Amino acid sequence: MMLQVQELKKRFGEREVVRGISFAVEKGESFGLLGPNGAGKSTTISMICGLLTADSGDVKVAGLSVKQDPVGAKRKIGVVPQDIALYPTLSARENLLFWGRMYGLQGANVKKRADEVLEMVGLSDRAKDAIESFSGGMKRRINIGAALMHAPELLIMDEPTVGIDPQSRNHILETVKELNRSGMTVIYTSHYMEEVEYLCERLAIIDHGQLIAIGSKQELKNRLTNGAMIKLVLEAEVPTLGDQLRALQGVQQVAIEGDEISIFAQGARQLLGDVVTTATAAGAQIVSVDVLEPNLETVFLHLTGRTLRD
Amino acid sequence: MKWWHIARKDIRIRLRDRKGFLMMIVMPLVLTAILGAALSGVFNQEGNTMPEFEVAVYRGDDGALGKALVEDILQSDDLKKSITVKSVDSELAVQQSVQDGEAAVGLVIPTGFTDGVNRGDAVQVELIQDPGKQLVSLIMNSIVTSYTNRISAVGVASSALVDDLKQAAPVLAGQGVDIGKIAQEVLDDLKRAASSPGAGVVEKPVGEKEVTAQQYYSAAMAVMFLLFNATIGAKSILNERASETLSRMLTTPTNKLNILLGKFVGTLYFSLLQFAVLMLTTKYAFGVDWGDFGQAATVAFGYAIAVSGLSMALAAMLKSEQSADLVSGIGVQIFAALGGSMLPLSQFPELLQKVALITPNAWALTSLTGIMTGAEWQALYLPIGVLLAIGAVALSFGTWRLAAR
Repeated sequence: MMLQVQELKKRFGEREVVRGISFAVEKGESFGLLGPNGAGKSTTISMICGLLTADSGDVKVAGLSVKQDPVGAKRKIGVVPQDIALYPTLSARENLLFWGRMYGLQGANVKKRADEVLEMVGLSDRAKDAIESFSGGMKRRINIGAALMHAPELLIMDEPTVGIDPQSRNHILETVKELNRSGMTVIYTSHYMEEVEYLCERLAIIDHGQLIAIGSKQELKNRLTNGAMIKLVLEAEVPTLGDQLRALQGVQQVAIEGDEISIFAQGARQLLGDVVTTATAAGAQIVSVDVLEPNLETVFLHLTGRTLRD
Repeated sequence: MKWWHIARKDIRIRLRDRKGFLMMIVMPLVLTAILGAALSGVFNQEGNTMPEFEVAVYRGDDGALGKALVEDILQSDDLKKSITVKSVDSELAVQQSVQDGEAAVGLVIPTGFTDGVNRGDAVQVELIQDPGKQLVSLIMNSIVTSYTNRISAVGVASSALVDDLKQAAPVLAGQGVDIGKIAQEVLDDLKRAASSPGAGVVEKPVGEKEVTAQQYYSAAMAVMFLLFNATIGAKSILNERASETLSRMLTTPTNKLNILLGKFVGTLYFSLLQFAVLMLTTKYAFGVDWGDFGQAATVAFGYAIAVSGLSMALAAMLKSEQSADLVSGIGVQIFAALGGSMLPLSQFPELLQKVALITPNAWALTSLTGIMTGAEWQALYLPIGVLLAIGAVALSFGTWRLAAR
């Protein structure tokens, strides 16, 4: 087992942000951690990395407790933070050397590894350039590279592709995929469901500080096997429509985001007529109607009532 | 040794900061050059205690005191190197001389000056000033006031002596004492004292030599600009926190004490480097004599410790880089002014001189200027001890607060 999260709890003042989260990640696995903003996902990751101390519970990385042996556990982890945590006036190579030394690499080893990592992230030709002269995507690649310097057993990536161009994004995804193929365990969080779907075999969904679902992609999709989602786009919001739709037989859940209404239902296709009639009767001007087959996005919406990008 | 890698990284970042280089190295050198040249007249300089100037003198008094002022005071061995006396025959001629720029300042000794002083009357020597030559006027005013004060004091002492002798005369005459002779001898001594050009209070430096303006401002600017390291060091820690590099460091197997030690050593190292550059540049470019190198280096080390410690304390107290900028803009300037970096501490009122001792820069500056005058090691123990104590207290406080976060 590469990672064991056991009954983690964390409270900030009166607010209980993480309420007893437990999950495990096998060695070599690529694991997605999803949750809407404010769900407790970042706090959980901070506790796994040893940045925050849990009020109760423990995290074990390759059998080492983050509480009892923080230095040993941290040696096994590489963290790619959401922000670009690099020194802008230092060159790409200097940044990598510095972070390598922070992980305990020394002498010729750290220099050799910096060159390898630069090769890995495709920036060998820009090794001597200052980070401040890089594009957003290139900075993100070095940001990842810094976490790879000590060849960690567990790589934790917190939204590593925020705000970058598609080319850099693809490069990052391919790099992560390749690292995972080579045996590195990866924990990945993102607001882009397609990235998680592409990279991760297993997922956990966190909401309101609790783990609300965990399983393989297929297992999560199977939760909606007997149903689908009807997506209504209206000209304008109709305040009472949500309650009227919930009252329809077969409707499991209704999620409303502005002028978009998502209706989860068993036998969604059969229910389509009733939904449209109810909406029209309530005075809604329908712009479009779609019936969507289950995917991770619909599963997430079904479970949390919100889209991943909320 | 991770602390060393952190310190080295900080130094590298600071050396690449061009704006910082201009601010921390070029600016103090430029200011040293300007202030050293502009204020050279204010300082006692070897071989040139005063600017050279001409004084137009009308002596309306033929008595001994008027003569003594011109011949014994203004033309004394010390003053004649700087002051050239040009005698004119009327008060009007004095004014004309000053007006035409032939003389920098004019002096009118009125008729009956000696007799008036002897009678105890308030007789004024008139000073004709050129508004554009205030320094020269100030010097002449000081010389004349010093002289007239002394002869007034002698006048009062003489009267008191004569009164006392009159009362004691019957007794002393019976014992065969020549009262007239004693009185004359004492009065002669007092007159000599009054007209002595060396009489009065003389300011002496701590050591054997005197400090020139260039020397003073080399030390003053070095001390002032080293003080900026307190806020720059604090800002570096606050920046690491804001840019998430500090969080990232904490996810590596590096403990907090290593990180804080690295930040402290980075500031310390840069402060010492900055001092060395400023010291060597002023020494070789401006010919500034810093005195004993070992002493100056020890004081610089103590001061760098104090400044680096303060950077940790500031980082612990401040919330953002903006507040560090505020401290840098206002706090450092106030400390610099109070610590004597703008004007010499000796020009401050006594109370302010005492208040200045709360600033580490005042301790450093007085020590460095003391070294320039040839101060002994013993005179440096206290300031070095104070600087190290400031550094230790500030470092302990900062480390304790930052580690607890």
